[in-house]
Amino acid sequence: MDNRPQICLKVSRLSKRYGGQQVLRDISFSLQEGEILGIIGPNGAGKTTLFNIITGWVPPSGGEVVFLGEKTTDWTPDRLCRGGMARTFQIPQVFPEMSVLENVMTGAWFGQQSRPSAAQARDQSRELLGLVELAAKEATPARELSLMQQRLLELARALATRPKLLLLDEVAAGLSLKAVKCLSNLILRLRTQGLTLLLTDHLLHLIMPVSDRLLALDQGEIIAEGSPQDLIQNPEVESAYLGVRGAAGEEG
Amino acid sequence: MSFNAWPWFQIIASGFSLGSFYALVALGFSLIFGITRAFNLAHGEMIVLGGYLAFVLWKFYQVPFFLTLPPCLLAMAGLSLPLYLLLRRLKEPYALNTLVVTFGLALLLQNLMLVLFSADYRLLDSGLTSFTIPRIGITFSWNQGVLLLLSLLATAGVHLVLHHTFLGKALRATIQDWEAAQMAGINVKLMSFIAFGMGGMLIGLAGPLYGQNMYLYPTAGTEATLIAIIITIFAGVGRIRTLLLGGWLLGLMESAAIFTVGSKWRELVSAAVLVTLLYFRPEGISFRKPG
Repeated sequence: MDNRPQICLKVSRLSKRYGGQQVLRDISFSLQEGEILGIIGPNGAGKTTLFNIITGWVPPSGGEVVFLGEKTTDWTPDRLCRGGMARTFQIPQVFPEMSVLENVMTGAWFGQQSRPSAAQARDQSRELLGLVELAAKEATPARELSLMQQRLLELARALATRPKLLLLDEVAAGLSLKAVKCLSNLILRLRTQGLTLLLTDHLLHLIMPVSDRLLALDQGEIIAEGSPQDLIQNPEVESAYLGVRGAAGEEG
Repeated sequence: MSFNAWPWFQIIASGFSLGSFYALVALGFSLIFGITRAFNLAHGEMIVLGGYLAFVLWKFYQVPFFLTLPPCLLAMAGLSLPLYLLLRRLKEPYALNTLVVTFGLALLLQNLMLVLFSADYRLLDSGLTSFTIPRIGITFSWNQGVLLLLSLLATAGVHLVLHHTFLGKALRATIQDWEAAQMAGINVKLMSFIAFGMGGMLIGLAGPLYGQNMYLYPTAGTEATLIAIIITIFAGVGRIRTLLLGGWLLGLMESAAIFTVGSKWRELVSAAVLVTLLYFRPEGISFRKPG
């Protein structure tokens, strides 16, 4: 057996243009199995576009994505999902008319490589609902959940597809500090089960404590890469980041 | 003097059979719209085309009415697939673009049918008679019975597929949230393909039934499309029981209008219902999003 960590995701020279606007430029990085990589950057830095390209929602203008050794640049989102890549959106996308449990079971049924039985899917889904603390709401229609609960539900559904790589887009946005703490614990627990994670967060309180490595994105380019401690002291990151935070503070 | 409640029985009998048929007409439209977001304005024309196909089989090849159903089902499902491939090529704003394309298709089909079948009114005679209950004087036509039965069977069949099969779960998930469905690993392109296939079969069933109960003429489809849109606005997409309720309400109102003020007022009823509905539901058929 080869004990070296395997490459889970490799992104090479990815770029994206919308009309005349260059949203991403020459993005390359790779992610090892079991690693947690955080992508930071101010609003509009291109984090979500990068996520959309990796997960097959948006075609890139150039470059390629290799997931578990296969070139997946032109795969559809559902194919990537069955292949082991799951994601959440900034604005949670749930099935509004289904119950919370049905939402998660849908992921278990259609997102795994081989379809579990109804009983298996139900057990797995209940376990995940316990994990995100929505077990008490399993019979509630998803449309009646709060935004936070919908976000947790979306996370549980993503996990129900048994992903090897999970991409969380701004999963901590709007959460209380206590909720962020719970989420960090959850993320670290998932990693011990062999999950590889890619996170974005434009505030740092979730991403700093959990990430092994950070990538700073500004105006579509990687401006710095390194451990959370190194990166936060990087002057370029500080100006891109704190500049924006300062401006946001003035608006408020 | 026969039993004095007879118009009520007629209104109710014809209302329910007509209404169930309307639900069938709306079902194909709402299934395709719900799953693919394609707003098919040629829906009614495709039903009428199916009706003409049954008419030709019956008139020129002496095929009995019930045996025209399977070939019509297959033919209309087959014809829906090129439509699927055509609409798949369209870009955003998708629903609006499909509306324009299918409006053109509706005109094309109308003129094609005018050339092929002329503007004459045609009626398929299924050879079924009517049945009068002695002494009470209530007449019940077997045509209405067949219309009611087949429409309800098809509607129940789709309900069964949607609520009791894996395919149905995937289809319902796709109706509720296109993006979430893909994130749960559902192949939405395959679902669209299946929706057009199922929708085509429902069109293929509605066609011969239309020809057997109402007159076929090249522009008859406009009204069927209107009915499909009204009921879909009333029920929302993917809610089959509400769809059936909507069909029945519309059928009862129309049949009440026919028996009280005369059949020329029938179309006015559906148009008035549309305007009233839009007053109370100005969002029309748009999708409800949470949050």
